[in-house]
Amino acid sequence: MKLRQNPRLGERLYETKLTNGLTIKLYPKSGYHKTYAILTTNYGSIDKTFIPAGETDYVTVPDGIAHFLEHKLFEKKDYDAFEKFGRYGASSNAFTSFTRTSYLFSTTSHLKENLDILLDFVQEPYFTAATVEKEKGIIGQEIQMYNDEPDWRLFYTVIGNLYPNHPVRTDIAGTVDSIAQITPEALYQAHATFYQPSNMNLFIVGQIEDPDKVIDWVQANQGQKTFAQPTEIVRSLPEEADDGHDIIPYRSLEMPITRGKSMVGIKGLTDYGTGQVALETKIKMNLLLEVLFGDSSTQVQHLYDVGTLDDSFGYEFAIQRSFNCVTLGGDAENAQELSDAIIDVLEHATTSPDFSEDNLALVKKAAIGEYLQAFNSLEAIANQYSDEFFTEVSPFDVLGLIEQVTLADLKQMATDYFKIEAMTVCHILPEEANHA
Amino acid sequence: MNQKIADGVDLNILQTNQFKTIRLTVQLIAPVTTAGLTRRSLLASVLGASSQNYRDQVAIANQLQAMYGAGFNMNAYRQGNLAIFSISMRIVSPQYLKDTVDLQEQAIAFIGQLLLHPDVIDNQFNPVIFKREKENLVRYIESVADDKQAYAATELRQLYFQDTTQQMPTYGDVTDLATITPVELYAYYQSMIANDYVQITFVGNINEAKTLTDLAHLSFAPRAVVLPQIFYQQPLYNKIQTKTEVQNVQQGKLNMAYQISAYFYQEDYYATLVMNALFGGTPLSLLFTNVREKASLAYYASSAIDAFRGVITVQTGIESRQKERVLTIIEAQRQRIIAGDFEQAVFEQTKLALINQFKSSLDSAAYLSQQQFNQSFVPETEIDAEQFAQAVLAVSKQAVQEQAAKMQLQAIYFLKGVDTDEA
Repeated sequence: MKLRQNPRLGERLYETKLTNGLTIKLYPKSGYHKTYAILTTNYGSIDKTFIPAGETDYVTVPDGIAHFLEHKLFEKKDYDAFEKFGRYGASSNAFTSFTRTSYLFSTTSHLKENLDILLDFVQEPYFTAATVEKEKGIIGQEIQMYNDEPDWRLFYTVIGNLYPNHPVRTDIAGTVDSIAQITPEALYQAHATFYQPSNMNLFIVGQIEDPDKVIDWVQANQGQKTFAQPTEIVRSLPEEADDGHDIIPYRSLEMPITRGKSMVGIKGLTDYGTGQVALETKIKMNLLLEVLFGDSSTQVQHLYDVGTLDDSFGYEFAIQRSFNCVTLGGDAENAQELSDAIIDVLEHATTSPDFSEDNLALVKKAAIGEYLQAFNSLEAIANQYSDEFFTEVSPFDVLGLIEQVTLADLKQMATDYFKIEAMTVCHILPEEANHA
Repeated sequence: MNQKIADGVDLNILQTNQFKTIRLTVQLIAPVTTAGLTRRSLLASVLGASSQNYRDQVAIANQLQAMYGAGFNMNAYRQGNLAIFSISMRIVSPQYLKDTVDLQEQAIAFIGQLLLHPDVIDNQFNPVIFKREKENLVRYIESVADDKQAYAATELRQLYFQDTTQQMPTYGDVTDLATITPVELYAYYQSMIANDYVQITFVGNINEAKTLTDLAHLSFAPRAVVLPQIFYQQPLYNKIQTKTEVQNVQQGKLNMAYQISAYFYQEDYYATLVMNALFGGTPLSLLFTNVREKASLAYYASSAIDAFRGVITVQTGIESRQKERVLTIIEAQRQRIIAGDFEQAVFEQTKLALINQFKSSLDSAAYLSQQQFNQSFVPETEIDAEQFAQAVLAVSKQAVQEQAAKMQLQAIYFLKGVDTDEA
């Protein structure tokens, strides 16, 4: 078992890999009452074209299947996993993103029993035509609900503009039409391919009395099961233009809202790989965006003063397997004015009055503080450090990575990334009042 | 450690090494009023936007960044019959930093600066900032209508509560807001600072020896405090209040309010807590399993207690044409509890879930801080995890049945989508 630690912080992380390929990470937190465990497969909504385990040809499956599978795994022939966790008072949940699916529970007692439930329900699929049909109603409602949410529509319109082909453009839950095509066979196939132990990791954080004993429990559970020989997972993604010429530059929609919304998206045209390089890129881009658009930005303060933007303004850098992009925006009286202003700041990033050594020093100090504060949250620790994408990096190396970033790094980042041909804009405007 | 600093000003310190942070909270507490809610909500924006030393939000942000990304929040809310104006900060425990910095004193001074040295010229708030913050708040209030779940909750509140102060959302009333001037708000502020009951709460690895000296940056004069009972009560309606609205949305929202007689940690509280958890308060509940899972009728269906105001609300997102069916199924679940028609195993599990929830909340500094507040108004809340577990485990099936029978349906609000026909 590998041990990484930071005595100054009083934090430590154990890591081991079982013979069946499952990675286990244990992160004991003294003083905590709760234990949080999360089992993750490196499989998300974008993995729709792949070679199924044991086969030789690519298949393309309906949009939304990873999310559908996540919902359906809870239901078994003779039990429901939610309820089974409930027998010990534990609460459980799951989520699907573009690139991962995670199943989790949190408990204050019976850790061993809950771990068995988690591993068993995720690793032992059970689907029938009837249960699959029923789920279509529930997920259909979920999809409809999101369609009413303006911020969600804004985000997906921007992503759709940036990625004309890449499956990231589609809602993680799929569409009502795509989920209608999902069958038990397709779910079994996806499970056999992506839920191999070698494609998964188990992260446990919080009250852990004896790490060795926990490893023994998991090992015993896995020892009772037979797994197929691990196979290499082969995925395929559609081509997208390297220079961004296929990006749709602008779209606007109308919705029943009182105030408009505006968002600028920038597609990362470079693949930054995985692990340390990807993490460094993430840290640099977040510092750059904070320098230009964060709380201490005089340019943003000015836009706030003149009413171009308000407190809803925000930005996000998403960097995951096979794509990375920046989104910036919020509510606006005049959606055009806000997107123009954002693009103006991006285009003149390195000559911005906020682009200074002093501001970077402050922004880094804040980033260090926020990094330390995140160790309070079991969920934050587990969700962040169970992502396969950054897996080889220790949580305790992040501090050093933040400290070493220079203004020259940010300049390089801005020059490489903020290209007008990689940008898109979406506006959502208040509908004419028909239903007042 | 709890100590009185002056008349009407109390300090609570919860010393713990569990967290990487220190949490500091100052709460100004007064009887809730309609005018007060709106003014306090505007004050939370205005006081957080500038002060005598920090002239704008960039200056404030720079100071927070310099304090290693300190978290800072000012907000106004209501708890039963009380209005609370709250300022809280979260700082890194200084022992984890490479540099030697007295973040505790800096944070207390920062709160003192924003709260006690506002940006005031000629007995009024800086008019430029005032105007902007007021406009932003108006817009925020108007935008709540865009979030249909929040909108339905607001409408249900108006329908259910008889007291206009309780009907009002925490952020206040937009018409009243329009009339407030910088002069009037400053007068309200002065009265709040001079007269409100003040609670200061610190959670974390606190340098206790220095605390009182540090608090020189945040000093309050003695005050005489008279507060009402925290719990709000109202008589029953003769007939159920209903309202239906049609909007161009895909998903309908059906929300309901039931009056209950149990209050926060008072008589029958634990039985009501278990009953609500069984009804719609957890993912194992009857509403979740029967409305959402079994009948496939809703994306969400849950219930929640407001134990300071004696009400349980039910919220659902549904296909509009299913409204009558959903109503019937919701009421049928309550009848099942009354009849004792629920599995013993589910009953036991629900209790374990509540105990798990309580123990888990002890891992949150924000919760521990809120507990300090609760204890000063409801002394019965001063219990540990073991006592809580015992009290929950002692709740009988019969007690739960009785509490379900005591629920009185009082209000039904329906936001109907236009794309579907009512069956």
